Amino acid sequence: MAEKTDKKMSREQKKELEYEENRKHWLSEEEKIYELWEKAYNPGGQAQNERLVRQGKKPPRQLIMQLIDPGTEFFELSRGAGSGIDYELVKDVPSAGLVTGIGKIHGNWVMILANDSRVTAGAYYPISCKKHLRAQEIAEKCGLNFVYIADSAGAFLPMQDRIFPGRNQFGHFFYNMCRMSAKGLKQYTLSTGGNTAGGAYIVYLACESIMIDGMSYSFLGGPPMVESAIGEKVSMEDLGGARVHTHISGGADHFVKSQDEGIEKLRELLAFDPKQSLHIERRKPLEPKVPGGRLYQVLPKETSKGINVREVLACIADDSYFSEYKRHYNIGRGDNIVCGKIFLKGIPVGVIASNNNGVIFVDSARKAIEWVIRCCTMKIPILYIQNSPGYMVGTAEEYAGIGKYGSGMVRACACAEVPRIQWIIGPDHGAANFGMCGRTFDPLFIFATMRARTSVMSGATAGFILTSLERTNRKKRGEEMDAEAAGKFQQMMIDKYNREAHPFYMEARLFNDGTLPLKDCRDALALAFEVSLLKPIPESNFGNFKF
Amino acid sequence: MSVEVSAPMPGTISEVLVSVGDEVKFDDEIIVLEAMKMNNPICAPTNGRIKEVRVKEKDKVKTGQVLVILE
Repeated sequence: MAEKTDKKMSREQKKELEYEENRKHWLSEEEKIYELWEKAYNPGGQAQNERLVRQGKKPPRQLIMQLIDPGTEFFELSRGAGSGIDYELVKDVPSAGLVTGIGKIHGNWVMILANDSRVTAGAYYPISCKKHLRAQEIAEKCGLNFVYIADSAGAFLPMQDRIFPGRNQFGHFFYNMCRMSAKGLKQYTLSTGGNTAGGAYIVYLACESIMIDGMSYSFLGGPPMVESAIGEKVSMEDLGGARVHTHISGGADHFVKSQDEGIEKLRELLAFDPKQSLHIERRKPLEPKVPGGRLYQVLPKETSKGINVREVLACIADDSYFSEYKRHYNIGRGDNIVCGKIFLKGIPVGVIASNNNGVIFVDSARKAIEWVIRCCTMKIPILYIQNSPGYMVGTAEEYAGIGKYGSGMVRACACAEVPRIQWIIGPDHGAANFGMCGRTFDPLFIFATMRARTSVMSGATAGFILTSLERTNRKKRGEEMDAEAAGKFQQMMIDKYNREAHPFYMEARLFNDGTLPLKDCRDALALAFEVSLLKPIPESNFGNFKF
Repeated sequence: MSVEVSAPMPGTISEVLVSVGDEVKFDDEIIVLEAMKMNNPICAPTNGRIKEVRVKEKDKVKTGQVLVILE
């Protein structure tokens, strides 16, 4: 008996130890998130801040805090966009040169975008275009009014071929403004700097726009272009200053004397909107029962290690309560995806969550399909918790129809009209990225954690496969690959895949909407679901499933 | 009544966390199986006592192969 107690103790102690190691690991990893944010908040350092002061301007986030309701928080998206993007001419575009996020104005959620003139005078790089369009996409899907705080030099000219001519590029901002305002979504612009050429449309296309005396300028061609084209010499102020557009051309609507006055005017314009309401019954929010910080303990520091996703759910769900669907169905295979319902700060949410090592079997895929359909008939939103390295391979699974049921998961995900949000807490590879609602399946939001790894396959798998391909190719050319060369090549591939799968690499390219500290995830997910439920949930139609 | 715990997929046993006579609870981790480049925890499907452990570390196993018997 004594021996058994000892052994039991040691198992528990082992778990304690593991928990402590995990906690330390994730806390230290998350330091990198705060460093990334700091880079976004202070691009160009003191010199750029002093330049702003000389211009009588405030940094964009300060303006936004002034704009939103006092005492509320600004939910910023994609702070790591453009970080380490590595263009030929520019290595780094902090925060992609603009701030985007969601805040409350007079109690209503509004999408807010502000150019950061400290980053190359607010010029648009390809990644800046992507970030601007992403904010518009979220606003349009969720039915949010949009505020633009515009201060941009326009397209970054050396890269014009990647900014100007394509569909998802600069001009699409204006197309979106037109279409959104036609749908009744207000588009309001406060110009706080230059808005030249195409960029001037951000002022003219707004439902109402505000210009600041001596600070805002808007013209199709600036003074140098005017002089070269028609020989006319004119100052910026006289060509397209605030007075010109609010008093003479009528291109802008409100004339103010300072940024502060401009922000007050924006709040005034938004004061007439009806109160938003949730298209779901929200209960009283309850805190999780498990101690705060538990999420840091239950997520293994190794991404190759299986997880118990029910423990993860206990960390985010109200009262740590999870109502599970098919709890006993083919355990070991069926429960590699766990399905059920939770309340997230009072909002009922359906859950499709990878479990164990996350490998998806026929049984888990079938269960997930059933659950997506049920969430759609119940009209509750879906949270996909992604920790899956892929679908199971081999003859046994192929014969059992893993391709068929995998595609069923993909179809269910693609056609579900309920709001879908993805949260990545581990491996995110291959077709599992599709079936679990990755970027290509248009979830309303994707939030990553430091444990997320998104790539076509894991570093370990890629290293193995690409090395054997390389060996075969060399053999065809009559070359041998010795063990040392193979080992070196394999390590190179592993490093490449690991680097590219990192959540920051994804965030920099807008493949997720932000990498969040674990402690912030419950709040972020609840807020995202709230915003996604401002519009009624439509009926879903799934097309032709195979069974 | 005894309950067989079998391998959900082919792979290699990387850890055996129990021995004969151990009491385990539903959902306790009992074996770690390495497959698909992942460490897969295999958990007890029910409360019980370990009656038999049929594998050791580094063993290669097939799908459906019995690893542990609970009673």
